[in-house]
Amino acid sequence: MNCKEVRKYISDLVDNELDYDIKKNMLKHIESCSECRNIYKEEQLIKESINLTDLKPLPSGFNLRLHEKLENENKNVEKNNKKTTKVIQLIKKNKKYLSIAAVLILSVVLINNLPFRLGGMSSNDMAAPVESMKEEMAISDGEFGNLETSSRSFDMAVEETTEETSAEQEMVTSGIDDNLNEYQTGRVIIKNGNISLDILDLDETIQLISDKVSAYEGYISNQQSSISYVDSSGKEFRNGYIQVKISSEYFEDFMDYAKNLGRLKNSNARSNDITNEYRDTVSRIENLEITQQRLRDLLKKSETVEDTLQIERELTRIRGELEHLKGAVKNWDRLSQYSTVDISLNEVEAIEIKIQSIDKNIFQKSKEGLMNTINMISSFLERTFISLVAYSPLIILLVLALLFIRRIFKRSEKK
Amino acid sequence: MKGVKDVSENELKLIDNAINGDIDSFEKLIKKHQKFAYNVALKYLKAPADAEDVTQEALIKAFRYLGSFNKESKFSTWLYRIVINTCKDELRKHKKEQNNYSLNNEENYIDAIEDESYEPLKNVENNELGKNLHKAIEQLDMNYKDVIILCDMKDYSYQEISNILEIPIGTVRSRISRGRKKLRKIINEMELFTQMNV
Repeated sequence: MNCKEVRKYISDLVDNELDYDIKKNMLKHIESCSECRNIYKEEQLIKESINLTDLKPLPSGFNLRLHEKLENENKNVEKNNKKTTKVIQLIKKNKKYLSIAAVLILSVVLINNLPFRLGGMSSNDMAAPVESMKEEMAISDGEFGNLETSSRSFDMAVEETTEETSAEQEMVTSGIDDNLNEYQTGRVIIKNGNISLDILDLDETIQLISDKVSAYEGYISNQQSSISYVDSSGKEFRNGYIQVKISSEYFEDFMDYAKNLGRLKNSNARSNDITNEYRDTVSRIENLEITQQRLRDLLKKSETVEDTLQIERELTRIRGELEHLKGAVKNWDRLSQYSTVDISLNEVEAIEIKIQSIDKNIFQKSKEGLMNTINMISSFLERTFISLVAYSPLIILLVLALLFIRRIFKRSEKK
Repeated sequence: MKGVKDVSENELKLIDNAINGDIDSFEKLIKKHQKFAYNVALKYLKAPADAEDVTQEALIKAFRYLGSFNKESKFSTWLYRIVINTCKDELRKHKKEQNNYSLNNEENYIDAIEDESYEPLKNVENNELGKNLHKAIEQLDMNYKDVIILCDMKDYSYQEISNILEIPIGTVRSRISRGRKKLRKIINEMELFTQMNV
C-alpha cells in the first residue's frame, strides 16, 4: 500500500469502517511511514476531541414550551379528528340517500352537457342567439333610422377593408424583399395615434375623414356609431369611432388634418422604433437560409439513410424557424407600412361650451336615473325567475337531502 | 451503538402510546435525544433562539408523523433525519447565507483533494484544539458538517449516517474524509491567525 491509498482510507480507519485485511495493511504502512502516522493521529485526535466536546445544555424552559406545543398539537388533531369522524359517520349513515342524490345530480349535469339534447332543444338554442342578434340589429336599425347613410357607408367601408387587406397582403409579400434591403439603411418604426374630438355633425365628419383617407392611400378598418343621448327637444346626439389605417409617410399630415375637424379633446401619437429587433430577425433569417442551403448540399452528398434522416430532421426544424421569423418580419412590415389612427367622435350641440340651464339638466338626469333603476329591477326579477325555474330540480334535490340530514341529526340526538 | 437491537421493547411501547396522543410517552421517548437535536440545530443556525424554535418544530413534526415511523429502523435515526431536514428547510426559508469558510467553495475544495502534501497541525498537544474545533466545525460546509457531527459526536456508523441523511454510503465516506481534511486545514489557519494576533 502506498501513501496515496492509505490517505484515501484514513478516515475509514479512524472510524473503524474497514475490513480486517485492509485495516491490517494500513496499520502496517502507518507504522513505517511517519507522515501517514501523523495524519492518522491527528484525525483520531480530532474525532476524539469532537466526541468529548460538551453538548450545550437545553435552554431553560425548553421542555415546558415543548409540552405546551405538544398539547396544542394534540388539541388540533382531536378537533380535526372529531370533524372528520362526524362527517364520515354522517356519510356512512346516509350512504343510500347520498348515493341516490349523487346519481340524480350527476344525471342532471350529464343531460345538460350532452352534445345532443333531448327534445330538439339544441336547434332552438342555436337559433336563439341568431334571432336575438337579428332583433338587436332591427332595433339598432330603428334607432339609427336617420343614420342610413352612415350604415351604408359602413358597409362600403367593410367591403373596402376586405379588398384593401388582400391587396395590402400582396403588397407586403412582394415588398418583403425590398424591405429586407431597406432595413440596413432606414429605420423601422411603427406609428400609432389616437384623437378624440367634439364635432357638430357625425356623418359629415366621417365623410371628410374617409375622403382624406382614400387621398392618403389608406383605408378605414373599423367604424362604429351609437346614440349617446337624446335631448329634451328630441334631438339625438351620437358617438362615433373610426379606426383608420394610413400609409405611414402621411401619418403626421393626417393627424394634423384630423385634429382640426372639431374641438380637440385629446390626442396622442406614439412611435415604436423596432429597427434593432427587425435587423436581428432579418440577419437570423439570412443565417438560417445559409444553413439551409448548406444542409441541402449535404443532403445531396449524404450516403447512408441515417445521415439523410438526420439532415432532413434538421432541415425541417430550420424551415419551421424560418417561417416563424419571416412571419414576424411580415407582420412588422405591415405594421410599419400602415399607421393606425383611432378617432373618437362625439356629436355636440355646439362646439363652443355654453352654460346649460340647470333645471333641464336635473330633470333629464333624474328621469334617466329613474328609468335605469326600473330597468334594473325588472331585469333582476326576470333573471331570478329564470334561474329559479332552471335550477328547480337541483333545488328540490338539495332540500330533500337537507331534510334527511336534519332528521338523522335529530334521531342521533334523541339517542 | 452497533449491534444493538434497532428498537427496544420499551421504546416500542412508548412509540405506540405516543401515536395514540400520549404526550408523556413521547416526552420520555425523546428525552435522551433532544439535547443532541438542539446541538445539531445550533450547529446549523447558530442563534440559540432559532435553534430552539427549529428543534421544537422538528420534535412536533416527529410527534405528528410518528404513525409513519417504520418500526424496523432506529428511532434516533428517524428523529435526527427530521431534525436535520427541518434545519435545512429553515435555512432555505430565510436564505441565510451560511458564513462559510472562504476555502469551502467547490474549486478550492478540488484543489485540496488533489493536494496531497501534508502540513502537520501546530500545537496539536495544546488545549487550544478543543476550543478551535467548535469554531472550525461551524465554518465547515453544510454537507461536511452533517457527516462530521453525526460521525464524531454520536459515533454513528457510515451506514447509519447514510440512512439519516438519505445519501449513498459512498458519499458519506468521501464527505467524512474531505470534511476531516478541511477541518485540519481550517484549524491550521486559525492557529496561524491566533499566533499572528499574539
